[in-house]
Amino acid sequence: MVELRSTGKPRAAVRTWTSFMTDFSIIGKPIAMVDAAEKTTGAGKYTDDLSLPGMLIGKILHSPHPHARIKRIDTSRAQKLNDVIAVVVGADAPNPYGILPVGHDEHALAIDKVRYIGDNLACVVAVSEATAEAALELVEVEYEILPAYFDPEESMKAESNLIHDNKPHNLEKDYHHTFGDPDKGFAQSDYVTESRYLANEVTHAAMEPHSTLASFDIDSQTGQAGRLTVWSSTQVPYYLQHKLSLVLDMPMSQIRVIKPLVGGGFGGKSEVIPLEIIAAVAARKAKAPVKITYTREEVFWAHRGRPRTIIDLKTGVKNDGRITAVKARVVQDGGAYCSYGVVTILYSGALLGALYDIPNIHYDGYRVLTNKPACGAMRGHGTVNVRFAFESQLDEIAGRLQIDPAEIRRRNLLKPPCITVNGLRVQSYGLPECIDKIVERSGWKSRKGKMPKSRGLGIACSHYVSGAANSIIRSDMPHSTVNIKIDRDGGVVVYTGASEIGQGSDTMTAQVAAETLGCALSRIKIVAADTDLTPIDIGSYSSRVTFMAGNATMRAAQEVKKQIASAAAKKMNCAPEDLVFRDDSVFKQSTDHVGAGLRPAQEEQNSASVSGRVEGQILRGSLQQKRKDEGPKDSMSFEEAVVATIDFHGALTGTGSYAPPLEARGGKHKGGGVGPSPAYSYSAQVAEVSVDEDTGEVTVHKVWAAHDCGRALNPVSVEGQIIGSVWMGMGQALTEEMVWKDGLLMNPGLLEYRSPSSVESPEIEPIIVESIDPEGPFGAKECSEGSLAATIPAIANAIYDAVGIRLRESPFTPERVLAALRAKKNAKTLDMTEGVDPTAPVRLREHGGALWFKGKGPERHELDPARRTEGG
Amino acid sequence: MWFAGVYVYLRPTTLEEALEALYQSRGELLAGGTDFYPSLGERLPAKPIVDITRVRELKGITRKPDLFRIGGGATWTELIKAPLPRCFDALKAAAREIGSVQIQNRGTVAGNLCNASPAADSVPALLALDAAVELASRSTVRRVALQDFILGNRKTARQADEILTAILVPRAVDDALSTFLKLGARRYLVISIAIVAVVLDIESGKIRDARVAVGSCSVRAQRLTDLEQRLRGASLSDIAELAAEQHLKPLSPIDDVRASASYRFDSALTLVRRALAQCAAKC
Repeated sequence: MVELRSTGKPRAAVRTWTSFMTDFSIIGKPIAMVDAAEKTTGAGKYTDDLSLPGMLIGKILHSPHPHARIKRIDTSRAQKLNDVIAVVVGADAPNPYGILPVGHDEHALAIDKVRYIGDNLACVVAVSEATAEAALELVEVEYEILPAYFDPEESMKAESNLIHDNKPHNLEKDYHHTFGDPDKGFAQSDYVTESRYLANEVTHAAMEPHSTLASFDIDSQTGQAGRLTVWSSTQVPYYLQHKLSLVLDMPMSQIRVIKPLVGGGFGGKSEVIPLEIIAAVAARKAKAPVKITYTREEVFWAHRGRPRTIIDLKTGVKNDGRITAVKARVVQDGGAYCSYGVVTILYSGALLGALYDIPNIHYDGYRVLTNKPACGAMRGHGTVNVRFAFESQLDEIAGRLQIDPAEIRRRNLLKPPCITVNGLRVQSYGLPECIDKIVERSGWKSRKGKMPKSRGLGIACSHYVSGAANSIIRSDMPHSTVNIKIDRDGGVVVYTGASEIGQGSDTMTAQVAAETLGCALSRIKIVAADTDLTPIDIGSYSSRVTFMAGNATMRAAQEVKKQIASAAAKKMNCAPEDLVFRDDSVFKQSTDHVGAGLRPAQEEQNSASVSGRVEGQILRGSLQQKRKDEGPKDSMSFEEAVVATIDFHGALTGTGSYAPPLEARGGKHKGGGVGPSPAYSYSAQVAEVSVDEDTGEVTVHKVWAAHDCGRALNPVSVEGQIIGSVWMGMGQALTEEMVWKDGLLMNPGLLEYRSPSSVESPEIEPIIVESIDPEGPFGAKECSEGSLAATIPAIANAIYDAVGIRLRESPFTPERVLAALRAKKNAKTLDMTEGVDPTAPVRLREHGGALWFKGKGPERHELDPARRTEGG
Repeated sequence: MWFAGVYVYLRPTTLEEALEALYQSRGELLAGGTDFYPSLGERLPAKPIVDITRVRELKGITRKPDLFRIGGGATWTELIKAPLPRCFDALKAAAREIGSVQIQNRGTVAGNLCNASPAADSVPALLALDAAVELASRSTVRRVALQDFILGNRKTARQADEILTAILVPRAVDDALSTFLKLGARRYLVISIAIVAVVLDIESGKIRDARVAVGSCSVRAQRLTDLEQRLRGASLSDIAELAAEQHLKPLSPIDDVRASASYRFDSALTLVRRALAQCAAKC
């Protein structure tokens, strides 16, 4: 860690907005989401709700084999079926693509090989879903079955029959990073501990299944297919536009991507999903609009979730609990394609830093290909599983050194502003306050160690980026750009590429624009995520929207505000700098209006709502009257000021953009581009659990979760994100797990892929900590992902506190808990790796799954209807 | 009447019509539909459908001098709301655990038996009540004990032309105490890892009769007759301790996506002991 205080850039300069605004009228208030009415009444349109005249339905044929060469694919019988319009195969769109420039290893439909059960082979386009379904059965495929790889450690030994020919040993990517001097760090330590942790695979399980509708215009000159319009459930319209251009060989300008309402993403829609490309290829071949909506089973196959991760973690500490060195070997079971994999494995190492002060780090990361659906980005991308291991190990160390687990975390805090040993710049740092708050609220000091039998408390911390400082497609382009247009009646339209996926992107944009312009929130209309209308934005992922698109919105608003100020100043006979915009009015900053207490709060609200309701006509009449009545004055309404500006300048528009500052872009080492962020969020949590020692069932009674989000632009939204993160983390901790049998997913449905239901949801007390980031919009940072990672180890540590078992494999199902309890009783150590030296490549149990899963049951293979029909 | 390629959907209103329609169409029965539709997966029904939700004779739960008759069309919600003696407490508790409230409103008790899932929540409770089923066809009506009705995973003694018209529960132990316990990997909306139902008929602090049934731990739910034998005549104190591993011999649990065989076995014993203790504690 390099402390930055001495080098000190003048920090006050970037905090100009705080110097005069001590309170706000729009941000910081619990405001309902701007799309709440649409969603709660059911009026809102998601992609699958859309329909076009002559629209056809596409259905995809999926591979039944985990790894096979396609010897022959014959679609002629399917094509002959009545009402089948087209059958699309790999040869119809042979260009490869992938979300990362280094990972262009996917095709719209398989060309020569299938690489997982569920891989995409062909797409039938028909007038009805039933016909398309029927036609799928008529597509004949002849396979040459190849040996398949399901375990990453085994897969890395492969010499032949590689999953991708250009990836020797099925190794997608490996990184070996050394920061500081780990050997020296371990030598200086008083105590070293080392363990293997295993986090099984989980998926997003967003409510809305993926859906895409693609339609070509007819070119008026040639009569051929012209521009393409795609409506899709995506987190990043820009990436989809980019990949469509690549696969379809069309310029991006000929492709328009529109994002309708999206029913949850969590990372699962942050990259291009096969159906998005297939729908466009199919629409081109069928010469008609085509819609494809995944079934839930297909959503599981499309996956892109959190990989099964094996973590060998070693930590050295001094007797006082100070960490001297950390060594981690991380192996990720990445599935059959690269996806975001290279980024995931880098995040796993990079975000060992920036939470605590770790002077020496050694990291070996392996992203391995296996014959399973590709893993990708999922809430807390790359950090969650390693955080589970780290926070569990820290708890173990605290116990060993007899230091309070909250205290050992305090002893390892960073001293920001600083640059960590692995090159991450940390400025705002609310972790100490987060720890203080949860310790206080949970009654940690008085209750820890004095809990009733089988009941315990556990603590853990986590953090996350507020957007990546380097975009995956390297360029100097700003990460977000926003346009604002203001109409003559004072209506403000914000054009942003940021994608509302349920997280509150549109609401945040409206709040930031209204606050900056000092106008009523009701004036703001959001036009978002339509590549024809909105400037390029790299989308909703890695928690970047509030920080980056928020900053761009603020800058665009400042630009138009400057124009309004100069026109209004002329009317008011003052300098533009003397004007204050607030409460839907423009004031001359006079001695009467010093500070921000411009009007009493009561009046403030009235004026905002009344002006919002005033009809344009009446308003213009009254404005003209007013102008006649009065000479220069001390205040104008927002409308008056806008009219004055437009009368003077003509159209009123402004643009703002955001690019992360150079000093936040990280170190120069290979892979150093992933991990750096302009700001990090922090979270600390205490979980209270009880364990049924006879059945192994774990009940979470309460979670206290403090999250440093910089500034809460919308506290109710921030609390919702904290609660949602804890809840999703609890799912991974206790019940959620993808169970595989020879590459076949055994639980591809929401019945057996068990997200917690409302019955299991504990009381969650969200605590907002505001560290006011110097570069965030109004000081805001991320709040949607960082809390997830702390929940899993907090629960693990609470289980240890309750019954004295250390669980190193997630999820902590009743079965695993009971096995650990029995092992403890018999004083045997629970060995997850079947007793092989952890330094040697070991044979783990086949694919996670139940602890004693012996691999019975061909009766539950994919052809067995019982797999679908098992009912209670 | 139906023709190739045309979907046939029949909705009779009397039992006679229903049996005729079933016989003529060789179709499939549809009642609550909560197992029927999921079992189709992505496909349309292949056979004609005989919807029996409007058949009058199948409705309701009635009390007879010697038995309770749960109509073939009675839903879980009807069962939960029906005034029934306390030996039904376990069955009612099972009903509340079936699927979700929405499923309970649609799904029928008879359908749960005909679907014959090893994990059916109602079967252990009904086995412990010594229930029988009434099967009617165009020509005959027969009564079959529940343990002879469910033959295996998804297999029952019902013939293709038969309708399960009622579940019959003898009134031998109306005042007996009963308990139901279920273990799943989450609390709600979950398929069970193990299910236990216990019925204890108690007379002056001693067990006169005991029925213990375990579900989800073998292809069909099983009564633990050795344990029942052991319990008869025993006093209520430390009743849980009487259950031992050897009493679980009728069980043959499997490994699957929900749990391993050994965990099922282990937790079944825990559940049996708990159910016995909880049931005795009601006395």
